[in-house]
Amino acid sequence: MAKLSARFPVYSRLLKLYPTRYQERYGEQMLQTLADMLDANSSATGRLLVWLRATRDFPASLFSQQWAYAGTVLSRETPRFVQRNALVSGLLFVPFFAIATANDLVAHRLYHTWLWSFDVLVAWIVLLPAFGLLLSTATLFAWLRLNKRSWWQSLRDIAHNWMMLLPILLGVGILSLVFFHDSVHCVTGNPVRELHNPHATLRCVEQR
Amino acid sequence: MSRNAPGFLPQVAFSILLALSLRPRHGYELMQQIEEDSHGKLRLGPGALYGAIRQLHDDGLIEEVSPESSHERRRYYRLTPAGAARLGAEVEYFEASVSLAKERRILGNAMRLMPWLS
Repeated sequence: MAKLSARFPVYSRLLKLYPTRYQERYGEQMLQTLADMLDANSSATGRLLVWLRATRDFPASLFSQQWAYAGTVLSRETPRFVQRNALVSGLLFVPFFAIATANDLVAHRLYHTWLWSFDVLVAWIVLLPAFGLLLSTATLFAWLRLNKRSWWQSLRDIAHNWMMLLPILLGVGILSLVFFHDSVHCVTGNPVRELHNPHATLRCVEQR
Repeated sequence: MSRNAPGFLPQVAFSILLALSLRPRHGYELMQQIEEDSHGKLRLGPGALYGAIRQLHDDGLIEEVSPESSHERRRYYRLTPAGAARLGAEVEYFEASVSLAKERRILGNAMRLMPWLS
C-alpha cells in the first residue's frame, strides 16, 4: 500500500475522502487496479486515457459511497435517541421556514397579523430555533462521547454526523440572520431591544 | 415489486457477475472482461468497479478468494452459489425478453413498428 501510495500520491489522498470502512476495504485494491491499468498501457495517450477514466469516475463514485454509508449509519448504527432528537430539532425549525415562506407568498401581509405580535414572534424566530440548536449540539456531543474513536475523528466523519450537523447549521444560520439582520441596526443596534419593538423595526426596514 | 426480482440488477453489477461466471478474477481482469463482453461499450473506472463489488459482496452474491501466494496483493473475487443463481435468473429473464422482442419483431425495427414514436 505504501509503495502504491508513493506512486500515486494525489489519487491515494483523494481516496481518503471515501468513508473510512470503504477506504480500508477497497482503497488498496483501487490503487492496485489503477496501477494495473497504467502498466498495461505503454503509450502516453493510453495512460492519459486511463487517468481521464479514473478522474471522471471519481466524483460519482465518491458521492454514491458516501450516500450509501450515510444510509447504513442512519439505519443500523445511529442510536434511537440521536434519531429522535434529530427529528425534534428538525421540527423546531419548521415554523420559521413555514411562516417566512408563507409571508413571502402573501406579499408580506402577515406582518400585520398575530404571528408578528411580540410573544409569538420571539417564539418562532428565536426560541424554537435556539432550542433546536441547543438540542442538536447537545446530542452531537453526547453521541461523540459514546463513539470509541477520538472526537476529532468522529467530528470529521460527516456521513456519521449529518443528522446533527444539519440542524446545527440551520440553527446558527437562522439566529445569525435574526441577530445580524439589517432590521437590528435599523432600530437600536441591539438585538434584544429590537425584538421588543418589532413594528418600529418593520417600518424602518420598509423605509430602506 | 421486489428489488431482488430478475431484471433489477444494475448493468455494472450484472456485467461483473457475468465476468465472474468463467473464473475468479481480480479488479483489472474484471474490467478487461467487462469491456470485452460489452464490445467496448462499458468501460469502468476503479470507483465504479469497486462500488459495485462492495454492493455485490454485501448482498452475498460474490466473495473474496484467499490468495494462493502471500505475495499476491490483488484480491480475487468469485461468484457465490447465491450469485450464480441470481445471474441465472437474470439471464433467463433477459432471454425471455429478447424472445418476446423477436416474436413482436421489435429488434432493429422499433421505430417502423411504432410510428407514433417518430
